[in-house]
Amino acid sequence: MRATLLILCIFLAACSGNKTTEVYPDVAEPVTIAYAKGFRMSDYGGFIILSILDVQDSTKELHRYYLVRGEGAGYARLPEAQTIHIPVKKVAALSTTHIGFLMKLGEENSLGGFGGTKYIYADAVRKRAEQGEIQELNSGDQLNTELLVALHPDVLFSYSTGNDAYDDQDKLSALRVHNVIISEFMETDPLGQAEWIKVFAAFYDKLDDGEKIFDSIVHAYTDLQHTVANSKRPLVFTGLPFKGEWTIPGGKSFAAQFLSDAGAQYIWDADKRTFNYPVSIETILHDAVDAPFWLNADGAQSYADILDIEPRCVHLKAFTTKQVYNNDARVGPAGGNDYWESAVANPQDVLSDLIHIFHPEVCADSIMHYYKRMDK
Amino acid sequence: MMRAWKWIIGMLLLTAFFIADLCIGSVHISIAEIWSILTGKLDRNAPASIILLEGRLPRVVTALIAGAALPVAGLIMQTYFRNPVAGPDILGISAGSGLFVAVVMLTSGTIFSATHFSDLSIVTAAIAGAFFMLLIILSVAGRLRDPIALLLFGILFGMAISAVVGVLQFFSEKGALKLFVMWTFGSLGGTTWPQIYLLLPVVLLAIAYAFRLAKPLNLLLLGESYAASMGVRVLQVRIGVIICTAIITGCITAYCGPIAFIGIAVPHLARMLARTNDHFILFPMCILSGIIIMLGCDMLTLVPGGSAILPLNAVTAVMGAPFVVFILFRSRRMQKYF
Amino acid sequence: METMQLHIQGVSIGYGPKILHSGLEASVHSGQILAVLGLNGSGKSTLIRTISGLDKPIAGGISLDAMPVHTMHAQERAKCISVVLTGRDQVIPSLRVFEILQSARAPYTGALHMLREDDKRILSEVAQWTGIEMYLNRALYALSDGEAQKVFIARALVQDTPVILLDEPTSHLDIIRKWEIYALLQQIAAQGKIIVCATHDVEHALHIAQHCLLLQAGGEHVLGATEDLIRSGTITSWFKGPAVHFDTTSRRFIFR
Repeated sequence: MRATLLILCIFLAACSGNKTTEVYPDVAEPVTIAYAKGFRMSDYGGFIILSILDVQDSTKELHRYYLVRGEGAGYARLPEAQTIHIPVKKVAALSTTHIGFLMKLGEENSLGGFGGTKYIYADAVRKRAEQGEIQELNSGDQLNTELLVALHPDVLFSYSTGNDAYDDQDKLSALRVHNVIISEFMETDPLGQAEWIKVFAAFYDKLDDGEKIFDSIVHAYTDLQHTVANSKRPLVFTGLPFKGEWTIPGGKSFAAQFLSDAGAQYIWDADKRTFNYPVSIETILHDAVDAPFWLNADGAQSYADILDIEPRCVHLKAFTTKQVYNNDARVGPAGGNDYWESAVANPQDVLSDLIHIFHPEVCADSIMHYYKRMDK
Repeated sequence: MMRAWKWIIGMLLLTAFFIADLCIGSVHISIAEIWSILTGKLDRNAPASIILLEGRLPRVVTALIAGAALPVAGLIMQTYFRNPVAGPDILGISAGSGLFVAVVMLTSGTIFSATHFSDLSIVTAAIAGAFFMLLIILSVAGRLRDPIALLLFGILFGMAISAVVGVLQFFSEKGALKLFVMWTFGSLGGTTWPQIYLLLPVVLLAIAYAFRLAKPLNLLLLGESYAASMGVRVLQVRIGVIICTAIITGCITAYCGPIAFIGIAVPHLARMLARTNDHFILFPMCILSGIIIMLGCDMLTLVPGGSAILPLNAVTAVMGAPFVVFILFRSRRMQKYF
Repeated sequence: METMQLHIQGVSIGYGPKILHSGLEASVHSGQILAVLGLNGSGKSTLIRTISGLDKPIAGGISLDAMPVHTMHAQERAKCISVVLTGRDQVIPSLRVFEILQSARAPYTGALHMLREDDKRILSEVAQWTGIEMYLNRALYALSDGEAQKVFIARALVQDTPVILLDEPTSHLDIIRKWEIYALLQQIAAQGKIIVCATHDVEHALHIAQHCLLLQAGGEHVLGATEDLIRSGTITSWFKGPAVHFDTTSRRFIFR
């Protein structure tokens, strides 16, 4: 009892003394954000404030970072742990999607450390890793903090665990690593995910470039969208069972949005969920039996594989007509898949692939980037 | 004379392991460098400095705390339950902590997870879980006099809890799930100084309280009736045992995950070394040998291969499990329980 | 040595709602032995536990020199009453004899259980007097039942209390060891202790006890001086079996 009280006292004491006073000019230029819900940026001239927000509730700020241009000597009172001097020279990243954004900005050479280098797809980047120019930061499945500290990057791009309270901020900030939580994967809109390129651009002080790149992505994406706006919408479903459970994207999820933009009808598009959830095989056999297209049967390389995993799939129309498409057109020697690397920064290419699958008559001459039909 | 030698060798070993553990890591830092960092001659912002002061030192201090505290909890439980295989992990106490922590960690955005009290909520959950499990074990311990039966009950209950945790995992997000799975591997490296400032005094208080229990625990070796006839207030001691073990198991489990086998194996080792049942000697012996073994296990997670970091529980289980089997065989054969 | 008196006044004993005996009366002086006699299940152990303070009486009270036993502070009571319980199952077998004896000084020591010169002196005196000094370093599991029983009686002596209660001190012992233990009890009483001994060894108890409390499973009980109980034939009538009867003149059970 006494011990519990003691913990409480220590905590209350620690919390009460923790107010930081922020002093900076109030003339700010907000950076326009059209699709993304997970971040907000304001340019104060000498520095940029980057706020990472809760995607589900954009009024909730989870993290705040101060991106100070040059040495930024005048802003000594900004909290040191969240201050990053830009442009950054050497960065570390933990997700392959981050590499996609860096490549889109032409800044992939600033990558000095990465967690899981064997999953890198881009040849040039993987070669640098093989030559030791990019430090492997993972030991087994875990981030090796000693190697990270020794690398001493200007910033570490990491990802959220999905629950803000348990993202391990304390340990990294104690180690004086400037850790920035990138949660682009939580956006429910492909363009919203791609808009995170602005966040990466800010770190290289190339906000204008970032905006231009994003504008061209939006342009290309919406143009493609218009080509199928009035086409007939074929039914489609996704996934593959694992140990008897079939995980499907919610009707309001990022994946469902892609399918709808590509002029297809996702069979569970009436669903209101934004996240993936498991359903039984029976549900699939009942709902998807006549759907002409089947996407993302991840884990199966051939129709024989599918039957091994779930023999009842033989009743599905997409199976008998061999209309199964996987996003494994570009896979590196060690299993790195370009879809998980550059697709987030290039939603227009994904959309082009999907339209090619659903409406070959619209763009018969376009090449496939990420998707390919399962042919065995 | 023999006794003094054991303590001196133990202290020397502890010091050697302490220094060795500071020297081992993925990044090479020489002893000379370590010395100049510790004496403040090297820049505090140099990478080597940060690695040592914010990475390795907190990890080693956490090993000291966990290594000292878990065997103390194990010893108390073994004496109180009169069972050689009692321990925080074996009887499912850690599993109980794990269940409550899982509820807090995997149910995001609920009443449990207020952002600013995340540390506190995990600690509170872990202690509450340990408390909950202890009460259940206590309620059946009277009926399960056979040590193996109680052990079996603890394992079965632990399995039931794992199943519940599994269900929770099934409905939770991938990121939180991975975090939880990592947590169950056990780790000493996740703690920061502010967390240690919280952990250390609480655990020290619990250990100090355990020392206060040494006299009644010694008397309890003669059975509850004899103990009561010699002035022990059994109910008071029972409450003390529960609070003490719940706080130790809960705190350590919250920060380091459910560390396996240290709590059960080290008290037996201490008994073998000290050749006594006297808790006034066993407590310090448990603390000393517990720290040495914890530091040793921590080094083994880093040493093999060099590049990979093994899960702590893999190392403690490989060392501890055969030892516990040996204890079981011995206690059966010789008809003496500890 | 001053004389003390253990007084059992209108005590009811039992467990839960079940009352085994009510209105038990007895009084024992320093130097006397009270034998509690009865067959299995007659409530002997419960009475011993109640007198010792381990269990509460359902009614009535027990007092030592007018001081009520059950309201005493646990540690104070431990300085007044010590017990020798049946068997040794409840004691951890790897305990050494000296550890068992040392623990008995608990009521007199502080939280750290540091033994003073006095404590050590009593310990070695008792060990010598009871003849167990040669196996002080042995573990309990290495002792025979007779040796172990002596150790537990020595433990009670080390606790240095005016009252010593014993519950079946001679079960599992052979005939020679039994007489040894009763001889020891007689010597202890001669030192001025109050002894209450529950046993079903009626023959042995009658030789050493000044008073006997006879208990029967149905709730009947009789208290009396040993000589009176034998002469009046009470013993003969209480312990009558189809194959055995108590012979008043030879003071032995005779098989027929």
